[in-house]
Amino acid sequence: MVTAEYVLFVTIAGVMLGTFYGLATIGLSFTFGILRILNSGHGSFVMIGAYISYWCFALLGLSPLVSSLLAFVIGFFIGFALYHGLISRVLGGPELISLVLMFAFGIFLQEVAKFSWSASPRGFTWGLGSINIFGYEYPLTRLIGGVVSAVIVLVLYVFLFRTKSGNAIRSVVEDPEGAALCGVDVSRVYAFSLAIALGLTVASGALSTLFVSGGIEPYMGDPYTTRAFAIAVLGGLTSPFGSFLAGLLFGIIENVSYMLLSLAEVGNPFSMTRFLTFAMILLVLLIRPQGLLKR
Amino acid sequence: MIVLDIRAHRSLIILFLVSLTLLFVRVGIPETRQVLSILFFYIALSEVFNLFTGLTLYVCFGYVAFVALGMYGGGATIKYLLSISSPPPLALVLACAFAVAGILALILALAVGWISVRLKGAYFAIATIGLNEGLKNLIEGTGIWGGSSGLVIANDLIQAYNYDTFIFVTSELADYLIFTVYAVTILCIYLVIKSRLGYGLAALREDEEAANVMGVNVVRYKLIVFVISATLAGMLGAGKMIKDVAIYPPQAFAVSYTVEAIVISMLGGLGTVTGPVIGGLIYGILKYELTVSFPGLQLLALAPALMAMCVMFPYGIVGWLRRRFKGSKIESLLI
Repeated sequence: MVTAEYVLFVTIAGVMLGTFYGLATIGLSFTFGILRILNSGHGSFVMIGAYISYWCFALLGLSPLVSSLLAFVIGFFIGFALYHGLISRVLGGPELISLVLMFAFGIFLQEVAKFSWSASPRGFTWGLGSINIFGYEYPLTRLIGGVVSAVIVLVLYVFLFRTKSGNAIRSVVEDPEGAALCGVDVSRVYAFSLAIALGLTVASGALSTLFVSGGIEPYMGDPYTTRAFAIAVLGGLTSPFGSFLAGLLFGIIENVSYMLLSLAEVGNPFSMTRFLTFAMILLVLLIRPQGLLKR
Repeated sequence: MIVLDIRAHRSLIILFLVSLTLLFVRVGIPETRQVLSILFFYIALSEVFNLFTGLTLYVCFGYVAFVALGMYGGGATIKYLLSISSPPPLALVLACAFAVAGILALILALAVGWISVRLKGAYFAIATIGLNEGLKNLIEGTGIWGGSSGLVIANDLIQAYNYDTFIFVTSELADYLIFTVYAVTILCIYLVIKSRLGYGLAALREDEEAANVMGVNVVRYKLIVFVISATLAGMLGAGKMIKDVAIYPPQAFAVSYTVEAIVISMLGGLGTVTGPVIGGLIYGILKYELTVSFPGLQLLALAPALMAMCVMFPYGIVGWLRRRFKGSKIESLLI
């Protein structure tokens, strides 16, 4: 029996999952919007974040909230090093080459993780109990994960729209040559943006452990890559906040359609939900190929 | 006439002869058989991929969906035909499998292509990733074609014919079928490059909007090569199904196939006929050697090698060779 309370509960759970999806996607559209690089190794950075969260919890007893900060810093430095070591060398070449490069780097991260920590899945539970939403139990960690994701995105918003560096980044998005003429060091903006983007992605990986307590393994990132691609295109690909909203929508739709499909008992609800979300993307592309937020 | 003028097409003929030699090396030296059959599948896959991506510079991440659909279509056809009380001759069964695989891929490509070729650049790439995931989840979710438990045709083949025929079909005939798809694909790319369609696509690669303004129907041109390449991908899938005699959704829809096709084409040189062959040989042998010498760690070594190659040869090895030997005979061979 579907009550109004149940629908509301499922929607709220969807919002929490959706803010996390939004955070996990924002780095992808940030990189694409600014550097014109499609990060095909996106999921591997999420995986690194999840391992950081795991080791911080297992060895130091730090909560995923603290380790997400550490994860951001680590991701930031990986991004900086990656830009100066590899990306800056291929930026002038064909666009597709950076796609292959990022993909190869993603594999490299996976294999390093497998080599160092083995392929067997790990997991931990940061048990905080659960709260009661409209008569249904919801784990507190997920609520925290959703709220923290939203806060991080808000900080990014303030940074981009209220600071000088943020203005520089946005001017490069508008017109790299014009920005360079006005005295913006475009190469530095690129390096800095890639660093922020990967920092956010690794941090989202650390927070992912709040939603899924187990299954931390080297190849866990692959579903994140496809999902993030789908969400990013829904949000218009170049717009970080568009992809955040799209992530929110994606989370809600995933949860609600899962509920409806389990009730309707058509096939396996988990697979059917994913089929429907991807069918929806094709539909959105047909109607609004420029994404949800763009004019 | 295309066929008569041998000198004008000598580069294609040489490439074909080299490929044919490789095919027979695998018969002559049994140790190389396994490596070379895998290699040919990857080269064929990259050529098929290259037919669309190389000529339009649009990346289709959903390629493996067409291969998987071909595998399913071919497999289901074989299963159905063999379940009839008196199984028809083997050649007819295989021909039907290829036809069904090609037709299914063609229909899917028309439906998806009609929407997605209107999209530009990266949007297209991402739209096609949805194709792959969508089809996989549809099969797993509704349980058609065996759903998540997969489709296996090994027993059907053994029961309908006999064990020796089964071994011959899977270990010999399948390789020749895959080779045939490969040969047809290089011929297709060659003909497309030399045709009006190819010139239109070259204009599109340089500047899509300018090409559109100059009267090139970009959407139609993209759709044509997309559909040709997807149909060939479906047939390649039928060949792979005959070789593997089984298909399971997680492996069949693994994005790594598409990515390996991208890597091989880019390594060799996008939009060239010889590129995927050279790229495939280098990538395949490197991967095989690394697997033999560092089992379990091959990807750890392969990834940095790929990154280095991206930085060193941004236009692929064929692109690099063409510049290096500009104006000489070698350049004219590197089609």
